[in-house]
Amino acid sequence: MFNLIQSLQQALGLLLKFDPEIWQIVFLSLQVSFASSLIAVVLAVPLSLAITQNEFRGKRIVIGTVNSFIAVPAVVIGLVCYLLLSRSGPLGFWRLLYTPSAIIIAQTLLIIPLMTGLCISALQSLGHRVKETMITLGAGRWRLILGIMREVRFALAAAFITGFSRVLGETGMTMMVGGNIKGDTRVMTTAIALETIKGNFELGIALGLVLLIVAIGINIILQAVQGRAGR
Amino acid sequence: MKIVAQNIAKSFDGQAVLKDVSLTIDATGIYALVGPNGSGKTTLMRILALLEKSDGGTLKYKTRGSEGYDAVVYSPGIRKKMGLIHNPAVMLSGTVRYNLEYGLRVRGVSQSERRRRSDQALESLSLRGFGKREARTLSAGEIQRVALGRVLVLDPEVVFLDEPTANLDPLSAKLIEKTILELASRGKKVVLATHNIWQVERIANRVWFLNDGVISISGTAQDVLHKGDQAFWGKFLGRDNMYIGKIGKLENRKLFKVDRVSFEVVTELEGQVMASLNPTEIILSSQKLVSSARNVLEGVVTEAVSEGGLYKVTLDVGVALDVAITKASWDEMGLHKGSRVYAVFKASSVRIWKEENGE
Repeated sequence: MFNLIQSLQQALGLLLKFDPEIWQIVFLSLQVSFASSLIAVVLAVPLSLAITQNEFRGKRIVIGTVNSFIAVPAVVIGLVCYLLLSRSGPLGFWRLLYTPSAIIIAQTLLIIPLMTGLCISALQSLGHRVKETMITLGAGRWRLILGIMREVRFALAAAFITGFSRVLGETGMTMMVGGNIKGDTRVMTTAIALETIKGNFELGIALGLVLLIVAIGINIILQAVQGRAGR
Repeated sequence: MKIVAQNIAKSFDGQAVLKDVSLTIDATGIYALVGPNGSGKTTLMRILALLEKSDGGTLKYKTRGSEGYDAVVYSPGIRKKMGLIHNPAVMLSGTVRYNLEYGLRVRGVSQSERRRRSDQALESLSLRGFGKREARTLSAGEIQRVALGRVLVLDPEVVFLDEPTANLDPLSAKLIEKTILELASRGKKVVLATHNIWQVERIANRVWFLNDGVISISGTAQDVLHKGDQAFWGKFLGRDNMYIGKIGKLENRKLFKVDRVSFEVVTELEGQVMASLNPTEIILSSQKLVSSARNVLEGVVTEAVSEGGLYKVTLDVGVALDVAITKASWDEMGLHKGSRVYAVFKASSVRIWKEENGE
């Protein structure tokens, strides 16, 4: 019979004993999520700059499209990535399915629209006159872009953190493309799902606690950053 | 730098803001661009400062040391020799010093030189100790001073200022005017868009009056404001009771004389001066009042217009004198065109200043 108190004690024991399996899973989760967030932000910032800093026909449609992509369910992205990366898929020769790289690719695709959307709103909120002020003070194209990014740096950081926390908590998609292979592609969320199904609650609870702490920690940082961005 | 603009035109959404504007900025000094709201002053300055493209016409710039005029648009090289201050001025996120040094940083100026010039700017704009303050937390007057300092450190040849003293505290406004005068005395060309006719009188050398997309009046400040149609300027710029006259002495008292009228004033100035009198500081009386007010002028009501809750009554006291009274006073006194009344005001209510300088 499941005993909550007992399971909790055992979970804490696992954490405090620095059980290598647990910490390997935690470390991989953070590593993969950080990598995908980093790639996504590196792509989202120039993309959002290109969209906001240029005038072109259909600009509103492009921004609308980016925003609607935020709503694409993770599991659909997982499916697409699976089909692309599977042996018989067009990118099958990369042999990436069920590797951490596959998780990173899927997670990156998942959050690029989210991060781009957040970056676009941050850049749009920057008054036109701030940009003009930099121009009148002699900023050339690159200086101007650097200056604009500096102006919205807290909002960009908030976009990064939001994306990071989104992928850190992602389960289904990660399971589909990562395969939840022990010691290889098993991350916190997929491990919790598996251990819970197996009735192995103490490991699930232990990982759940870590995930909770990380998620709350990220949220606190996010709120602090957003507070600065809003100033 | 010399700027020649010819037949500049600009429309927004099919609405012509500038129709056909030609002007030359060659001599050192202060140029005032005046005109009603929406007359295109800001747009014209933005076009001249290469922030906005005109739809038609040509713009030519001749920079110091260059041979002929360059007909260019959007050349960063030329833009770097000009400065523009928006209204309201915008601060970049960061400290006052960061703002002051931004343009220098962009130009690759060394840190020690940046520091020297920003220190100088802090000093000359009464901002000593402000270097580490977050620029966006400053007051409007302080922000305007930082914005001016940010341009000054770059030593531009032409400076464009959009309503530089609008909504500022008197101290900041005075400091900014002083700085503008200093800039002109150092051989810079300053172009300011302004509503403030007092400011134009105090500091501008040349005036362009922009109306309905064209420059309808231009000339030296003296010609346009003093020899031109004063009633027009007065009405247009909401200026009442402005006179040019001479200060005379009668025993220990100072008298301001304009045409055949004279009234007592308080001033240290001598010779030709300008005087103004706020219409709300004048009392109308149907009998000759005995009071502490030094001036009692007899006149005839020539016009009365209802403006808001007030009546603006124009008297002929030898010169035209506008007086603002409430409708109730107008009714109770039973005034009408042709009524004989006395205008009573204190000597200290008359503001006196020299034409070429500050008050």
